[in-house]
Amino acid sequence: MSNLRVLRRRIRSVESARQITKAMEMVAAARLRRAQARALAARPYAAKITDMLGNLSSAASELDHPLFKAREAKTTALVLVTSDRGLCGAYNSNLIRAAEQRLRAGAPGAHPQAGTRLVLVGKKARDYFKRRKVPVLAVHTPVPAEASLEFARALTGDLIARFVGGEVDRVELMFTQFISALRRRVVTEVFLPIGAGRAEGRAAGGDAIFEPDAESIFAELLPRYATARLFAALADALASEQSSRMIAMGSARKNAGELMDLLVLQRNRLRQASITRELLEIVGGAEALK
Amino acid sequence: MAATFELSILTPERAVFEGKVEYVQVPGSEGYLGVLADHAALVTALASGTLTVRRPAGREESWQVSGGFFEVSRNRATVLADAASTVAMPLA
Repeated sequence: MSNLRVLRRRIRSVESARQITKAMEMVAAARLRRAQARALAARPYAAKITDMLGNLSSAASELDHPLFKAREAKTTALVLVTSDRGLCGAYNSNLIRAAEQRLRAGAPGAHPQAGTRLVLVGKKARDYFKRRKVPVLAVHTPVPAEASLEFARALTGDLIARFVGGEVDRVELMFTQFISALRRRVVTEVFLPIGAGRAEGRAAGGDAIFEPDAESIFAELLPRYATARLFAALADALASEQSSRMIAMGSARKNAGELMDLLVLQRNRLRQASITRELLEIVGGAEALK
Repeated sequence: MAATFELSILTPERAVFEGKVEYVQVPGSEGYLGVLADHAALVTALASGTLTVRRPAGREESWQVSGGFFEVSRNRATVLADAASTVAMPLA
């Protein structure tokens, strides 16, 4: 009989695991919708500021700004965007694995003695590299639950200060790009210096009036462009985290359901066996009394 | 009816306004400036201040903006504001 009791206890625990994972799946789905809407809402600004940067740099090619100048990349800062919370499948381990690979391989086409230093976003990356005693440049945590402009501004400010101050010669972003609710991938983008090549203007703004002048607009534009890009990357990372969690919790719920079915079947069989046995004993006892 | 042009007011987080307007007044870094339809191409930095638009029906709307840019080209004006919040219009 103790076997039946053990089975019943197990069924209860699997059932509650199923309920918890189901609840987490639904919460993640709701957060994913919000995160996606936020990422989408930020797009017009990002597109326009990219456009303006392109126009401006093609209108006045002699524009010169520290954020624009490529230097020999002796030290590269790798900004790794992870999450604060776990239970989101392989989301963080994929990022950490990619970062470790990158640390071992070094930057593509970089200086032979080039070093890569880490700037970590999120508790998961912080804990991982702390455990392994890997020195890091900076840690930014907690990560806001919704893509936050203040957070993006603070992080951009920190990165720009390190870049302009000469502490690092190049800044790369490593984050999870959101493709769809089912697809996402880890990507690496050069964040600083800001590449002029990418932003190709329509060259229509060539005869535009600049107030006060093109240089000062340029100087104002660059940090905002950087912030917009970082904000977009954070919004993508957050949407990816939620979709990853939704899928992980969905499959956990499904597994728990399958296990439940199996356990319930076993329990019913055991119970039926014991009923049959008792019946046989009663019938046997009655027969013996005749 | 006065000629209109397209205006978008965008912040890094979202689009605040999108539509046809007759007139827009922005707090440029060199002082307030007003733009009507068919304005020459222009790019200016913004200071903090009040941005006012007049819509075709004559209705006016205002936002408090803080820094950013204002661009006009080919009858399309775009405000890239760091932040924008609606201003309660005094009852006319």
